[in-house]
Amino acid sequence: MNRLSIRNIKLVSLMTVALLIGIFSTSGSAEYGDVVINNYSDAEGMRPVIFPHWFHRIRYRCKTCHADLGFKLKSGGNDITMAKIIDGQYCGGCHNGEIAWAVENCDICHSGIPGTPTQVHGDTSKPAINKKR
Amino acid sequence: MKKSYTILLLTMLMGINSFVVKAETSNEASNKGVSNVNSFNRLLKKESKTNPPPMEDGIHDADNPGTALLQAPATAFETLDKSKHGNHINWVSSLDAAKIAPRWDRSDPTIQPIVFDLNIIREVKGSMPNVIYPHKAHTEWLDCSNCHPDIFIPQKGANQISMASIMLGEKCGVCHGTVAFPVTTSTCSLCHTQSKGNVQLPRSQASNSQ
Amino acid sequence: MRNLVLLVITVFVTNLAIAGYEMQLPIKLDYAEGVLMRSSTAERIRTRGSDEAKAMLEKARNTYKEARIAQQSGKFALANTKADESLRLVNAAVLLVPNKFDEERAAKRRYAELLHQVETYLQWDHEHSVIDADTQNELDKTVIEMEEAAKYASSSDYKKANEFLNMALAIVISARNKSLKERTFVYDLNFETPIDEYNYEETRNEDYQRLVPVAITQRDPPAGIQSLMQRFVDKALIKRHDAEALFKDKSYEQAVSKMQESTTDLLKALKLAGVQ
Repeated sequence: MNRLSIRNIKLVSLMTVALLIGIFSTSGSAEYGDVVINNYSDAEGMRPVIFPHWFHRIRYRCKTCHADLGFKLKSGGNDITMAKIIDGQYCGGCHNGEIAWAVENCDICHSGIPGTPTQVHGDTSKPAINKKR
Repeated sequence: MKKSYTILLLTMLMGINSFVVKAETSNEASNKGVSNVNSFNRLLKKESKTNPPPMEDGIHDADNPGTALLQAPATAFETLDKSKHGNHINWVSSLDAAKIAPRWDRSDPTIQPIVFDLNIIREVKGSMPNVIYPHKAHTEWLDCSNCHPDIFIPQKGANQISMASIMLGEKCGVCHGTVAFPVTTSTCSLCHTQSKGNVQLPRSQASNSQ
Repeated sequence: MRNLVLLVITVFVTNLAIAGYEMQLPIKLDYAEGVLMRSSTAERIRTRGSDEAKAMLEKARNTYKEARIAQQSGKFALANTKADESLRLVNAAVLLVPNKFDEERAAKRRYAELLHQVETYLQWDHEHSVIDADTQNELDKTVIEMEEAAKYASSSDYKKANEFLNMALAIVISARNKSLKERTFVYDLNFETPIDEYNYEETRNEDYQRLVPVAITQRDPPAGIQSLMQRFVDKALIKRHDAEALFKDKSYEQAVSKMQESTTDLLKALKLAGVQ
């Protein structure tokens, strides 16, 4: 078999392209301020929650959640469970079917890559996350 | 020959697998706003990687069906004032220009925030300009209890703030660096706004005797 | 080789075929079961809910049972719809029977927070405010609102009390805002005593010390730079000890300048790592 035949070269280049497309299609950093909440998700077999600050900031000021609903200003500092949410606490203060959509839409919140630890994405004070900055 | 074909098949499957899942579920919205297709890219600059849509942003799981339903930030940010830091949106000016109208109260959209207009000038060591802290911009968003007294004691001389503490996530760093514009070498002048000129500031006797 | 290819193809196909809800269905059903059958939420609806709420809970439970049956007979899409329906029903029931206990507890916490705020701003040093008749009027109104709030708080109706306190807070802040002598306060670095200045320098030094390991992890400088940084840090620590000794000997001015030198060395180390 002639290793350097045109056919083989084409094969190899096609392989490389396919591989590269597969590997490198995820790129870019997530939206700044997204909070990954993974208190209990991994243990229960659910994807961790990604809370997008930007989406909520357009609609509500900081006070509505951080003073009125009792959310602490610290990632991982709030013991949020699904039982509390359906009972109207924390996220359930709005995500109850009246102000915003309700708990049966699991996927929209639980959309993180499994295993991501609780963190504020893009947090410039924590090592290991933001080498780029 | 057979061997190379099977290897090719494998790699293509790997590639296509992730590619197809994204292609199937990606929609117009997730591609809008990242580039203007009609602009002439003479300098062949790479497309901006800021505000990527959830399917491509590195922390959302692209295999999750729910991720495809999420709005891409770029779509929502189209009408807002831009900036070079954090979310790449100037939230304060967008609010002032009424481009967004976030509620102060969950249920009542008419209640307005209690804005307090007081600037605190913190003198800074060395040649860096002094910091001017504007209550006005912050009280448009935050409740007094968010900062006082847990993070800042509302009294002169009661809070020692250094760049180190900010970068460690304390004091101003509780928000700036996590959800508000980050503290990086390009954001210095957003806080350090009052240049000192050639004024020789008085010091205590201890430093005067150096 | 062929087996491997077949295996890969199967994985690929299965990957596409498993829709999200199938993988989550067991978890969703377990969650629904927990909420509907065993939670304190359900208990509350059952014991203290109106007839309407109780009927919703009953319907939710029946829908859940139907979802289980559908799951067991392989009808996953139907099971998912039923599970969603049952969660929606119990959600609607909860809105009719809110969690009074937790609400009161949260209201009590907020009452304490608001009270602290209002008291602080009421007693804020008057040298920065111009207290004219209008301002005094506002401050008096604030006190009246606080007293109303206190009445409700004493009978544990914190929700109502907070309404008055929110009003009080709005009045006092607006009063302070209007009556400020100037819009700018200057917090300068003039220290009353050398001891104050020493304490300031000491805390500043500590802060920069804590930043060094963070900078190393974040910036990941090469080993040569790291050892150079370590030398600066060691020098800084020696100077800090000297400063502490000088402070004990009451040579405050020298202690302050020694501490400043120590911090300068730390800053040099940080600059090596690329931190300004």
